[in-house]
Amino acid sequence: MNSASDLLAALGRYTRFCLSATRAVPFLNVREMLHQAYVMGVGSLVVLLAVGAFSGAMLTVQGFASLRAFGTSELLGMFIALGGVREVFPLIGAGCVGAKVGSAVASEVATLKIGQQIDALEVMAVDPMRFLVAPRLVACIVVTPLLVGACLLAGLVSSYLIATLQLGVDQGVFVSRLLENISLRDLVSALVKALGFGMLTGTLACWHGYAADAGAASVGQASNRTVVQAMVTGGVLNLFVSNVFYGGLL
Amino acid sequence: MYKRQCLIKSAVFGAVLSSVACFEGYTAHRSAEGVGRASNRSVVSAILSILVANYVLNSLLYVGVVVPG
Repeated sequence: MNSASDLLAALGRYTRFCLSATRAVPFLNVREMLHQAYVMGVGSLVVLLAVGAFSGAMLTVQGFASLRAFGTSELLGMFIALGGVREVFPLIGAGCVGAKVGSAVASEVATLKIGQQIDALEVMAVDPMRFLVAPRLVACIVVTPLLVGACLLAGLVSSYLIATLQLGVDQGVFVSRLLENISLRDLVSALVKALGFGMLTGTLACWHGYAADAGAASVGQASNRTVVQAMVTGGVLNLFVSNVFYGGLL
Repeated sequence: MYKRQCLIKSAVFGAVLSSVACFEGYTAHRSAEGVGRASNRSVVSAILSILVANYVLNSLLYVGVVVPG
């Protein structure tokens, strides 16, 4: 994409792809959708738990180091609630779902495309939108909030363990500061972010997989582009949702 | 103020990233599917190993691994 008109043309192709995928959603193959959701969810759960645990650990250590300089390390629970639950866990969790699920779906669809198996589906009068794209899209939208929730829980548990066992913060103070600063609004904003991320990841992955032309290199290219664009657009979406929920936008 | 920590962290992340990506590419299967799987695995393991390295480096560089008590 080296000029503005290329960018606009790609946006138009993406929008048309999204529209035809949405039109296929009411007719999707339910068994394929459940299978995809199972594969995505079970295949990514361990990775998401590990990502949540380690991002919680790094946030806790960094928050402790910053707060200790002001002699207020008992506020660590509040730091985790405000920084972790509102931003870091949803963003890193959803980014990791985008990387894991998005690149897997993109390379799968691209492999089917360059093996001319999508053409074979069309020859057999099976609509690839209903059979391939819509099930993956819906599965991605359903699975992303669940995985982000798992990531959030793992992050909270690991920041509790790091704060009490490694850093020696009082556990009662940590837990009460943590719980009194988590509200329903935080969880709703995390849910909205996860749903939006799921939509972006699913549509981008299927679109790039569908656009693969020929050769093994285009498979890698499709999965690479999916990850990069899902991360960038996801970051913009995160900023927007945070502004709506906390910054008084709209 | 934290220039040295910033440089150390980014240099370690660069080393982790490139070695993980080269390893996954080198051990990929000989098919178009293998290419896709290698790129998927390298993204996931790079994210994970960077988070692990970030936690370890944060502990070492900023806190000095505090032991309770």
